[in-house]
Amino acid sequence: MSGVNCQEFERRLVEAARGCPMAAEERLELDAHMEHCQACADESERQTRLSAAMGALAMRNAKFQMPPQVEQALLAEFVAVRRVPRRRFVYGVLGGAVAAILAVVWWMGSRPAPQVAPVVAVSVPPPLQATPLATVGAAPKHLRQIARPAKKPDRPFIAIPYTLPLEPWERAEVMRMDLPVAALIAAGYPTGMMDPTGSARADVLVGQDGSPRAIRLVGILN
Amino acid sequence: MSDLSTRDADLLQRFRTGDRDAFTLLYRAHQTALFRFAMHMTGDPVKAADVTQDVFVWLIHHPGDFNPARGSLGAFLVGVARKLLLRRHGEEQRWTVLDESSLVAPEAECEEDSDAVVLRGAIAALPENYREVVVWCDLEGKSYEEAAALIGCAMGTVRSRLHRARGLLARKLEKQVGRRREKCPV
Repeated sequence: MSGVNCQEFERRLVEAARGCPMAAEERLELDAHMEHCQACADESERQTRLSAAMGALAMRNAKFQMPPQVEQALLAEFVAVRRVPRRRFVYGVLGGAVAAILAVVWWMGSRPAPQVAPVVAVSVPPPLQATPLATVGAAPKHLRQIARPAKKPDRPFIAIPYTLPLEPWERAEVMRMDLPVAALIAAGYPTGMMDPTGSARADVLVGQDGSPRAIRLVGILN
Repeated sequence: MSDLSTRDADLLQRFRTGDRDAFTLLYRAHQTALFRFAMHMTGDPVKAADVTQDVFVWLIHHPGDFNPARGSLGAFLVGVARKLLLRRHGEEQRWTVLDESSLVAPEAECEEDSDAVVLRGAIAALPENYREVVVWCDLEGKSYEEAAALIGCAMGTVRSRLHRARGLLARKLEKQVGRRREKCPV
């Protein structure tokens, strides 16, 4: 057996073992070669055995199937993935709304304060005694320049006599205003040595009905 | 376009719009072939099921990646399975491989179809490109032309790879058979 001959027949040999169609002439040549070549005859036997084993393996593998629960798992995945864009949209809208609210809050916070005396709404505890009910923030700069600071910066509110006390649920407002000292005297506020013709700056606690309930002196005007 | 391709294209269109039933039909139409391919390639039903499942999970996440103009959905999914198998094989390479002869159970050595058991191990041990042609041509019964289209190489390459792979397998099988005859002479 020459090497060339064997190489020539090697391809046919494998094709024959695999059951591929072959021309009758080619088949006869192959058989004739194998009669004289033991190596090729052995190879043919090995290839035939291999083909049989391939068939058996294919049959064995065909017995296995996909586990049926995989289909359900995949469907669950499919549904979950399909939900994601909807969820993204909702989260996007919510995120946008939150951002808009934050922007408005920031904008309102950064606006300059109005140039008027601050008026603060407070809820007042029930007993209206000569105790501090509320404190007002610092006066604006231009008012501070003209107002002399009082001796005691945190003077208490003093209830105006003969007025009804505030109810627990009643709203009250503290209003800063300039008053004639005479009006303070008339309201029963202890003015001490103050000039009765002069003016004073005071915080007036005004009830929900608009009537003054208590006064706190802030300073004496020039 | 064949009826099968038309049906696949229709189902795929519905699947892309979120039709659950269309996905179920696509899965049922292609899972058997994919599982069988993965089973032949890995020789392990658990791994084959994992790979098949991964192919469909991939499809769920990439519904727009298939282009019907470039081929059938079946071939496309086989391509995805091949890539997943390759990746898995690469990951498995990091682990020590046991001698395959030790994986054959002693009681199976005298069984009638023990050649198939030996062959399964031998195929799993083949290099990837040889294994593919054996699976397509010998186990799946595809022609050289079909196998070449699926693998993406020339027909002559398929033929030569198959001949070399079969030579390797035939020798391994013979060695195993000789070993078995020594243990089980009857």
